[in-house]
Amino acid sequence: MPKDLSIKKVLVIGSGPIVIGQAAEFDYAGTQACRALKEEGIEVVLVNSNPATIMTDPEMADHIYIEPLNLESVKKILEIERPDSILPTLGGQTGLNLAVELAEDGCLKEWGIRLLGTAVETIQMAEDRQEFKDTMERIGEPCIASKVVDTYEDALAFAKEIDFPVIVRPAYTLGGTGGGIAYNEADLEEIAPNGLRLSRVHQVLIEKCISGWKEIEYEVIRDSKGNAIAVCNMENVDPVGVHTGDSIVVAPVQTLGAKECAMLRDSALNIITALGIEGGCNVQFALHPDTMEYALIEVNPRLSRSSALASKATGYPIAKVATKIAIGYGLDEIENAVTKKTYACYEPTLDYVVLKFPRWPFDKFVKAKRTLGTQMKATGEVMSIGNSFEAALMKAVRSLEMGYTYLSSKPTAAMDDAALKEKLHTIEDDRLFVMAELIRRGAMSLEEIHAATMMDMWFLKKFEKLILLEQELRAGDLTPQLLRRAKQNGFLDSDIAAFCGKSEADVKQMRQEHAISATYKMVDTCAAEFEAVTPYYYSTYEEECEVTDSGRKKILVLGSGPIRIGQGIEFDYCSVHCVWALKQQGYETIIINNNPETVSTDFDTADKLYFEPLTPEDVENVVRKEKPLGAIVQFGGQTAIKLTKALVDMGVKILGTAQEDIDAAEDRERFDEILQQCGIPRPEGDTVFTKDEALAAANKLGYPVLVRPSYVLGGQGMEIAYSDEDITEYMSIINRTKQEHPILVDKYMMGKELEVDAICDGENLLIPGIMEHLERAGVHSGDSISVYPTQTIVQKHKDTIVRYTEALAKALHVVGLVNIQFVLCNDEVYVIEVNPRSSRTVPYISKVTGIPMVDLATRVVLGESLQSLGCGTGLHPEGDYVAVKAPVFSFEKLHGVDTSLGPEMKSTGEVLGIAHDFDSALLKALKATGLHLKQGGNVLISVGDRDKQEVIPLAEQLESLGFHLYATANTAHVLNRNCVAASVVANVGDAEHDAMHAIYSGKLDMIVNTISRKKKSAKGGAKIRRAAVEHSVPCFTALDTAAAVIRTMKRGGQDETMIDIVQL
Amino acid sequence: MTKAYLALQDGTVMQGESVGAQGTYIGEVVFTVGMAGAVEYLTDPTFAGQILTMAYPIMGGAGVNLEDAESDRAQVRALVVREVCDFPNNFRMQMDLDTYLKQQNIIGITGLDTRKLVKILRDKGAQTGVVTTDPDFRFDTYKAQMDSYCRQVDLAELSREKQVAGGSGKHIALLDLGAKNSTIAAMQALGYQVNIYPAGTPAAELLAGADGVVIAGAAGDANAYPELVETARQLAQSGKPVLGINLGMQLLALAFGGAVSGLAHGHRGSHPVRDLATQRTFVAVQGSGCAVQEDSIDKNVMEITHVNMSDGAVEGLAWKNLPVRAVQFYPDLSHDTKHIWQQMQNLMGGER
Repeated sequence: MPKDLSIKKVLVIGSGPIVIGQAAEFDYAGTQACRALKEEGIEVVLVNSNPATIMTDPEMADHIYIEPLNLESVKKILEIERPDSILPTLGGQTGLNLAVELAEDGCLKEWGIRLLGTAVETIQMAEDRQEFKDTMERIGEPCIASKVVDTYEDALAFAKEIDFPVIVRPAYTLGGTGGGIAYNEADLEEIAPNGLRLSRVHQVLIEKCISGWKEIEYEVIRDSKGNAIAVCNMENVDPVGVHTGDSIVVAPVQTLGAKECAMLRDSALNIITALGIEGGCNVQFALHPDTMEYALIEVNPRLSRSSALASKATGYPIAKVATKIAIGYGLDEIENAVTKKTYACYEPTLDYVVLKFPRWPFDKFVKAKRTLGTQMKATGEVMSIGNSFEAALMKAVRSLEMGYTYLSSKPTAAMDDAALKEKLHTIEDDRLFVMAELIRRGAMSLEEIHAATMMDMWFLKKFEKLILLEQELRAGDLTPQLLRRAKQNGFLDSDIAAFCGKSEADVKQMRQEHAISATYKMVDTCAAEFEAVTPYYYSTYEEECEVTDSGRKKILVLGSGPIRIGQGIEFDYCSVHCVWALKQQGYETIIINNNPETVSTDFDTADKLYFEPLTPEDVENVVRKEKPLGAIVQFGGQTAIKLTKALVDMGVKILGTAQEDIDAAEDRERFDEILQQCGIPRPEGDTVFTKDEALAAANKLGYPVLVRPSYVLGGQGMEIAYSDEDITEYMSIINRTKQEHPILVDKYMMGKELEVDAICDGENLLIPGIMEHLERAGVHSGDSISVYPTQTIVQKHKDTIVRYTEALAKALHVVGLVNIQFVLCNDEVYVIEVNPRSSRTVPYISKVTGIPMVDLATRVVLGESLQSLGCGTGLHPEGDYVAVKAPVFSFEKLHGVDTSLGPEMKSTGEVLGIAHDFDSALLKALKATGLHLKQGGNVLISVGDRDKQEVIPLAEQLESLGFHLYATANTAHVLNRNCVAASVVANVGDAEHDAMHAIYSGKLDMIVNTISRKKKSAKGGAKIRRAAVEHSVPCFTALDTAAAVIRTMKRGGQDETMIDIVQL
Repeated sequence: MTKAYLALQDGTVMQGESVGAQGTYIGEVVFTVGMAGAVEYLTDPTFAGQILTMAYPIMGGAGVNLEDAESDRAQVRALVVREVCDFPNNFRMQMDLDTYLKQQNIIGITGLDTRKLVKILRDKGAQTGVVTTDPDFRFDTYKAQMDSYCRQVDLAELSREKQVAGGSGKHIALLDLGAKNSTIAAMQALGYQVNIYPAGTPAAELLAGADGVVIAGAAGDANAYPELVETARQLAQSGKPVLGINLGMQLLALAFGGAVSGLAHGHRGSHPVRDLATQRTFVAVQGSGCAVQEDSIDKNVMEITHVNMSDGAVEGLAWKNLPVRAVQFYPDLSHDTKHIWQQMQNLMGGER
């Protein structure tokens, strides 16, 4: 069927902020969709609250609304734009839920707007557990014994009927929010009520637990004619029991025979056909390891994280094809863009092994519960490609940037046998390394490990093979054959050298002598059956290298690796824009990255994509092959910056700010010197290595002080210390891993934080805008609510900021982007931090000011001047609207994480609110984060001693807004003494009806809680904050946020119009 | 570890390690992009006498289960794969791949750049090659033998003996020219009684008591079997429903004035096929180096029902005035191709 000509204007719904379970894969999917629609001449309207995405870029759609993804605002947008259709299947669960809400609302019918792709009934059927089960039973596809319940009592009764353990799965939540495995009644009592509350329809599924079965996924796609193919199958290395997002996944499946594959493929095709899905669909199966019995786990009638992975694993652009299907095309009419010879009805074939490894945030959340289960916890993932499972695994492990280079981690290596064996029984993020260590020591047989983990022996044998090879290398006699084998199995030169007591240079030389060098193979969708036009590459150590030299001028752009807290999608945005700008200037672009979720790893973003780890050796291999005339490191976050020195050492020219200057910004002493020369004040501070030095420095500066390692990202390991105890604890934690760089101890200045991103060409400077943070210094800038333009800053301080920015950019010889953070304290502006690279705020400030920062910065890096680019210099005039960027957290997914804001970044994503006044913009932003603020109700106030005075006026305002105030003992005392009436609620644990009880009983509508320095209240406070998350009660942990929100609630927003940012 | 060598007629020489049996085999080198299975390929009559190259780098992860075999013995004589899994694990496994290779005297070579080889075969087409564990391997030693090699398929050897296979429903007479076990199994699963006859059986014998006829074969060039073309013609003209599969289709086409010739790129994986009547496409398992020439078909006699989506090759035929249909691919009971059996059932009166 050719294109449906009645489709002229389509609304694409994005997935909103990055949260655990819904990450950059939807930016990738949405971007592909927008491009696929535009190339058909269809007018595209886009709504997405996430400003860090590429899909919200002016060139991606004709009309772009960065507005809250709720019924209210989408209806308004529909009313303005009146598209004829909506494409909801590319915006994750958020998009799908919104589509269902719109359909249920009736507005679609009224306005004659249709949903493209999959019918609402289908979405509802796949999402409604019971309906889905009934449908599957009708077509003879087996489901797991399960029942949908809407009360705890029913849950318990059914669990007893089918026997524990059971899995609790809430309906309509993403990433399995609120789910879990209950092994007994007590577990069920903890999980089920919570799951019921989190479900949009107040339903959970109680399901027979089939932990230990193989978990197999099929990505299938179908068109409106009924043609359907399986794009890819994947096998979870972790058997059923661990969320697929938290599992190591391999494609294609490894441990199944052709018979099992054919059986499951057929089932997946029958399901997509029975559901009538038009587009992509993910089907998850559980397969009994010792029989042909299988059962369906889940069907996602939309694009998903797995479909992004399947796309990157095969080269088959599922999102693009699904979009073309949605507008009427058949699979047999859509050309395969990689081969240009075949059509989308070809099932891709692989001649390599792909591995996905999750990236968990436990390096940041050291106190979080690390157990893996049905609730996804990873923030991101890496993908690797090799021509053996071993090579793929080794590449994946080092792509994580967690300090691993082979199957070993420092903490597990330091554990004794007993502890390792014990640990093996709890499924945690480092299970692979626990197993590897046990195998390495011979402390447990593979059979025993299999019995404990149910992991297929095939995988365990592969791990063992790698460890045996490692031991062979340790035995010392490095022959050329052994070296080749080690390289083919994915070992780094540095590890090989360390194992056999040689230097890395020796190993490199030996490789050179014996011509053992990386050869690159193509990912071409067809296992070389057809020639490929736009393939991408992965390294092997084989005979033939398929990379050809185009003879053009090439520039290397380093990507930013997996999404993690502190380094999110915004750096992918920057890398992609850099690539586009370079292409426009006529360069051949080469990108190295390993994140399958992103636009940067799409096959047609760069001229050449190397799907590789971002380590010096992996990068050097590409450099040797491509010989680029230079590399750009400033857009790939800290991942790319960290590689600067290695690139210089291998003789690659760094385009843009030079390595010495990047170092100068990080090196405390050199940076202090520069500041002094420029006459710019900064908070006093010192650099230390040991605990004693830290204590001395802190006492000299006077508490509170800010402590952090240099060369970090997202405030990793940053804390405010108020006492010697704090310093001692901090240093003991930080020194668990060897620090190459010193620890910084700074005087903590409690003031207003301000931030600029600027472009410098070495001569001139362009500052698109100054951003003001709502929260005072001490809350990480990534977790602060950021406002553009500034609302409370007087002109003289703005002038100072511009002057300082100019002076610093010049002193550091910045060419390209620079991000500077300031604190305004006692009427004086201090510099806190300078990052001579792109920052988290670049996409947002680019969008709201209309200045394409990365594009300009790239041209500047290439040698053009700001003047010649005609974009103006100095501080860009402020716009007549206000943009508020608010952080979004994934706390409900991470048990045990304290939600209080501090110097360490905790948010996973962000949203934007744009309006003509501050209050309206803030309200929009808050709505977009999903916060449900009630005008009145009950509020609990419980703050630390330092905040008690400051909270009084806030309490007064809340009272005048009609809130009834509750407060914990000491806070209530202070409030009541100051004539603000507050009922006392017992501190946590002091009485049966304590603060926790108040939260559990569901009577609270808001909580204001700040950290206490007293140990007991600190513990109680943390419990209150966790309970608030688990019961979805808005909880403010910084008084500045609370103050701004309360003020805004009082004033109310005047401006509720939807703003098309393309028109700005 | 024993060294092994692979050489192609064009001069390509690659070195690897020996797996399975040792020795020397000269034959036609082909490749498949299939990813799962091992014994299924090795016993597939499609590859009778050939040297099979696997594009996917790992083979044998689930071991070997002879129930999955497509014929009663190995058809592939030499195997080229990057890695033979040395610790397969599957509950159905009877032996590992290496053991099977040794048992069936298949000479295997691993540890070589198979993607490079696949690209050569893609670009130059299937060609003669040698796989050997000869420690003194020299290209010149084998050159003359390679140059003089010509693939010959002995259908008599591929045919099963006359026998009846299961089922209690209508009778299908199978002219077995190297049918795959899965083809017979599909008919049995549908409830048919399958009366299997070897190549050379006269049409009359086949037709006696049959409700329908299936002519199924996998390997070789139909032009080499004029007597079988004649049998096919007689079967088709009998008025009984006939389904030709692969070689069976080529024989039927030749019997009615069509021409069969070699393909530049043999079809040996799963390719999408378009059904011209419904305009639907589906994925079908292929296995041929030849195809019926489109322009040779007399449109008054038969029509093209299916075409290959990659090169437009004829994949299916239906006779205008006879209940005869033929497909170039292997129809099975999957979501994709079970309708071919449904069509046969319809020709046979709608009941099984």
